Amino acid sequence: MPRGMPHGNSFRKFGGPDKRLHLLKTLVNALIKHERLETTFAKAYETQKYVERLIDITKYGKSNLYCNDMVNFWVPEEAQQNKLFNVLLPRYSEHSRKYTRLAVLTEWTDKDMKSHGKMAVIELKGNPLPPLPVKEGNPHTLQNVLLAAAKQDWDYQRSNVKEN
Amino acid sequence: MEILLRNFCLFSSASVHPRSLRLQRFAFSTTQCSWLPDRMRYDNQTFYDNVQIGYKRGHSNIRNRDRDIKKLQTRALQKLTRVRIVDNSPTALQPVIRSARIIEIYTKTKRHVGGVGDLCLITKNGAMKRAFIVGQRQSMGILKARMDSNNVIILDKDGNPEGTRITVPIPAWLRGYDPKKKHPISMSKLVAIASSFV
Amino acid sequence: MNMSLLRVIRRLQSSFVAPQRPTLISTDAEKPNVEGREDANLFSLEYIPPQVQPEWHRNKLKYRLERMDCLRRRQAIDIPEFYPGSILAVTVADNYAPGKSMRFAGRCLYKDGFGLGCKFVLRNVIDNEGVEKMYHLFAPYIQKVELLRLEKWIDTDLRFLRDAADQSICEIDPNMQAESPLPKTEELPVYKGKIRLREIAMWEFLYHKQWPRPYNAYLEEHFIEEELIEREKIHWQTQSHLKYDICKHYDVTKIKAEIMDEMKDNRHRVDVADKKITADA
Repeated sequence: MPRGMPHGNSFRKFGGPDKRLHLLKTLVNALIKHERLETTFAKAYETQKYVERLIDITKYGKSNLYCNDMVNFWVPEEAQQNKLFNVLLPRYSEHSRKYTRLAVLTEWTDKDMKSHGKMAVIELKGNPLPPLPVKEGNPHTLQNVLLAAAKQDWDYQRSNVKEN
Repeated sequence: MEILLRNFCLFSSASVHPRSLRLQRFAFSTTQCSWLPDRMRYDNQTFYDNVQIGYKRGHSNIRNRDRDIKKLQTRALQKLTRVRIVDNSPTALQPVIRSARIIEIYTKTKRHVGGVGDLCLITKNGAMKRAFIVGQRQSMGILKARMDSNNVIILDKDGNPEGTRITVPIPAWLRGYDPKKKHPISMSKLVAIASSFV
Repeated sequence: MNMSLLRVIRRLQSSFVAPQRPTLISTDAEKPNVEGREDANLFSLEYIPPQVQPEWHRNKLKYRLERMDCLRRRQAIDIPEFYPGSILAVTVADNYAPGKSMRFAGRCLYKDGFGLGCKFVLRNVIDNEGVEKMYHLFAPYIQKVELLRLEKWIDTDLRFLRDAADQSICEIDPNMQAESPLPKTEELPVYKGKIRLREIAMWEFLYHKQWPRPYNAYLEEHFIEEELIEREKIHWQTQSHLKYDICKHYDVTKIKAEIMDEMKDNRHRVDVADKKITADA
């Protein structure tokens, strides 16, 4: 079998399991502290999964054994732990979708030219920082207008069904 | 098959001799091609007027490949594996000077790997005896018992068991097993002296 | 915010409020089953599909059809709940046996597989010879599954019992009388005892090298502490880091709730598919 094949493993390697966890740990801690990071796309893409799973786990509550173990490993500092439970948990208590946003930077530096990698920005949703200048699609094109109307109809029908 | 026959009769001229409608083989020289996969081999295919109908039985091909691999995985006894003799024949009762080992396995193919239901040749204390395998450590999948040791009972030249009693349980599926071997094995006598089945 | 506000406003606008139906709560109602011991028609461990990464690669329709097939089989014969460690007796159809059926009793070593592929292994010691047999749980050749003793151990894989010093743990009398199991409203006690193994030279598998280490095997007898601590370092490089790799964990709580909801409808779906009733009824 070829050596580099992922075989159903959809995670990046980052130089072995030991280094990988160490790197992701620092990134996750930094994201909780600063709420916005600028790294390579690969690192940002991986941290997105881990931060979201971590916030999902905190919803079990501090008294849960599994939650306690995982949070102590991933967020060892007390200041970050308090922020996770007291600030982020109430912020995302009603969210069921993604808690983070990932935007790719188009400007290439020398470093990126060599590694052929993209740079990206990852941030927690609902952060107090000034908003990113992310370019969004034009809502006045014909297709977007039709899609928005269809979505409105769909939502209206669903809300009616629930009430009945 | 009938539909096929009718179709080919239409294409062939009226004066064709019925003997030419027999099974034919490919005209290409694919006999010597070791690089071809098994299903493409000349030997493993049957043709009807250059139209492939099926695969030949008894050879490894795409249809029975999984079965063959499973058979190989479940067979784990080879030359020089140590075995335990589990009947009360005189060779089993001898004091052990050299432990019993397999030195030959009689199988159809020349892979020299055997399992439960195979005939083999063993030595104990320097004497050669023909023996029948009735239990193995390797698991044989579903519904077939896996033992904690490789068990063997000793046969004489006519294929009858030498002992009069088997001390351990033997697999139940051996009751309906027909060993189509070149050497004679009397399964009915073997089953008759078994103490219990699992 | 906007959506929730709108809903509240819509609720306020409607003047009519439907009266709630009064619910009678009887005092001597039956207690619900303990969590982890649900009704097998609603939930069982083999209904959980295997973990797939990424998640949208899984085929949910295939899983549902397979669960429906399991339900069909459960309606045909009675399959009791059991765990690795409990004692079972299975009767199987066999053409060559007297009475055309064969019975085998033993202790369950492990159980794995999803849906119809669910397998379990029984072990017994007969005439000082260890015998193991594997069965498909939902196979049509199984005629009866009897539960002789319900036990639950900490480990889910008890294959170290092959190397137990005292083989009488797995030595089971086939004519043993069935003990009535605890009712499902009570929690099962988990067996936490340690079992002594024989010499390391006789072991079939080096149990101290695997991770997680078996709890019920008494390995401390054979090693000093330093050896086990050294082994833990190697575990971290190979397997043990998975303990903290949260994205590779398989969180079943959501899936379990979904399956419980689905299996309530599945009985109706089975009846419609087998044309026992019409779809409208």
